[in-house]
Amino acid sequence: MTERVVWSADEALEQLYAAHWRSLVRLSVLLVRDQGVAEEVVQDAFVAVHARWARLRDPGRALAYLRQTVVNRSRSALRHRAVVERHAATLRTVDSPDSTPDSDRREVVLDALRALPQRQREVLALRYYLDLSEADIADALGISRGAVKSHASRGAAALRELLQEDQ
Amino acid sequence: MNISELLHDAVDGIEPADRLQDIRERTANPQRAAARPWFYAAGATVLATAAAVTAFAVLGDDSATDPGPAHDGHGQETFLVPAYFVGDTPRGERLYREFDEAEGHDALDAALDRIQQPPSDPDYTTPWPEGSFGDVTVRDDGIHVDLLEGDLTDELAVQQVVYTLQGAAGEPLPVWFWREGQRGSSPVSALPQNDVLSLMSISDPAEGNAYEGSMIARGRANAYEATVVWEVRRPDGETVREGYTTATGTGDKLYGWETEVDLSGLAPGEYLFVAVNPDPSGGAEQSLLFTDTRTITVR
Repeated sequence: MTERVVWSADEALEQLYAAHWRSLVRLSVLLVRDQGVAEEVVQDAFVAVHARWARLRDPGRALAYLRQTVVNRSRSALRHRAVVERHAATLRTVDSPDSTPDSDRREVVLDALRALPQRQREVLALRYYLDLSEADIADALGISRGAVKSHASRGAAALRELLQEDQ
Repeated sequence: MNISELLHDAVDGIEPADRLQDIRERTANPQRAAARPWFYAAGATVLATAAAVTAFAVLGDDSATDPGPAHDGHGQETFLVPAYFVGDTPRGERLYREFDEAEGHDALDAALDRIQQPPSDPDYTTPWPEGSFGDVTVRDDGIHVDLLEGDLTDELAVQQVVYTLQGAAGEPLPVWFWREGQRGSSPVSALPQNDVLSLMSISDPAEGNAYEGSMIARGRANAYEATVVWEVRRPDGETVREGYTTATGTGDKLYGWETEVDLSGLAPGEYLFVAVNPDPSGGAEQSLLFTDTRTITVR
């Protein structure tokens, strides 16, 4: 019989942070592109999971809640940012740091992700970056497993096509 | 490379800053954990572009007559809104009410935004993450709200939205939920207060308020013989002030109560204000005590 360890909200927060902070920020970067915004999004998700700990109590459920919150908040961040970006678009100057073949490839992949419909982007990130099962993705996004399947296959095809165009 | 390798390659080099200390500070201080309506606009990239927009406006010759670029906060105002959140009671989870400041186009928009953010009181939660709802409007036949994420299977979560929007509207209008352009077949009305609300809910003080000398405490309760008992406790649990007051009614719904609490002579620091009442139907039975608490600071 395994001993059941009961964490306080603070302990749970530290454990979850140690295990998942980096991967969740990287997940959010796949969704929003900007690292600063991603860090804000994930920080807020950790604050939210701490507040909800009394209801979650279980690290597995807490992680599922964290993922869901990161995806939802990333989506909100994009919506809020879109307005500002539209107004700034005409002012933007070319401002790229010294590029290398590697950094170029990363930029191209992130750009291609941004060009996908939101759902496809979310499903691809959860499936191919976090290696989640269809059931877990359906749960995180609040959609059916059938929808996960179709977003995944369409998203993968669209991503490949976008990346080939760039070559 | 396959897609998995491409995605890992794209972000695995990213080393995020360590924010554990910031997170700890916010969870230790519920005031800072609460709504940050401008947080997305405060991202580094956004600030840089917003600054660029401002600089452009200043450089323009006719900046005095030019209204300038529209921005995300256009038409946003701050409202003090009632916001209902989910918390534990002896009869299972029910709704508690906070009054919070929130930004929006109008009071309903602000209230709806507020319940998609963490509550001020750490004892409560919200089942609606940010991004759950889109627009909310009042029409002749009621309040119309656009559900973007999640579903309506959790009755208490639905009632949380209904109570919050009706509170913000100031009248018990039916609430229509829309999903992807489709309106629900019938509107949702508020269920009776005795079935969904905590029978004790503190309105004042708000979580984290600071006082000197005395404070006015207010709330709503459905209490046995309309009697509300309150205490001020030190962090170690010791009761340093106690008293009782009478709500304006009892039985069919929640009624208001108000009392002045003398804080003079207390050492400066953090205290817990506790308001308690027995369920009216359960008599004075101790197992059915409805309780609400607020952390306060005495200066």
